[in-house]
Amino acid sequence: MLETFSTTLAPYYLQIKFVHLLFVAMWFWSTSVAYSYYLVPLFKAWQQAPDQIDRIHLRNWAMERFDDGAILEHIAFPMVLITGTTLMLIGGWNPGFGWFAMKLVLVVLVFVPIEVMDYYLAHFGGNKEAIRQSGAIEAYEPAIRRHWYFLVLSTPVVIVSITYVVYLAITKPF
Amino acid sequence: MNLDWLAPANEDAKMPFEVPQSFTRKVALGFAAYILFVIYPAYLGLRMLWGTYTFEWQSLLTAVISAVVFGLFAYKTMNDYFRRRPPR
Repeated sequence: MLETFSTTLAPYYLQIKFVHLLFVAMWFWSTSVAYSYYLVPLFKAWQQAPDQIDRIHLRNWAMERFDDGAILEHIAFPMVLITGTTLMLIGGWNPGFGWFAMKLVLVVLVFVPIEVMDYYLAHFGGNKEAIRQSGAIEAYEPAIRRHWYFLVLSTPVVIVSITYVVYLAITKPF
Repeated sequence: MNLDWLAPANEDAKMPFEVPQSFTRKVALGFAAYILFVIYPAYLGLRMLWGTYTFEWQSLLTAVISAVVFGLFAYKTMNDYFRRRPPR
């Protein structure tokens, strides 16, 4: 069955690669402006003076919008996985290639755990707007702080690992 | 300014948010250890499974240097984000 799948799609390798790259770009960059130029400055401003009510309002607003802003990223990620797996099957790539082994390891051990957490924080139990509307107001501030911790801790990981994986895929250095 | 339409500003949001550097140091060390003891061995394991693994000092050295440099970068980045700084 896998062979039939690969043979059928093999003529479309480049088209699937195009779709893959498109979604990789969406996944990588779609939240970057909102994060760097809205969320981070507002959180830093709040950290500077947490007792100022207008800063808390803006911080909360930015975080709720950011939860929704992550939708593009979270549509792109499964598409990246689907098209990536398809390319692997029809292109004959396997972990015998060093660059591919490293890429696979980073996807499974870095990207997937981060995205699982990110889906939860932005759209499921950690969604701030849903918490607010549920009336569980005591859960709101911990949810905001938990998400901020997650974003800051994952920032260096995301910057380096995604850049490295794109480099590996393009240059295939080993 | 009418703030009614904005998300609520709870009293507990006024609690200071301070992240000690000892915390970011531990996280950065954890990241470096994850590269050395999880990611790199997983990579080697996959190569072994496919029979294309040969031990090279250069590969090990690259993993060690990557872990150290990434740990330092993560430590600096996290501290920068957690630092209290007035808005521009």
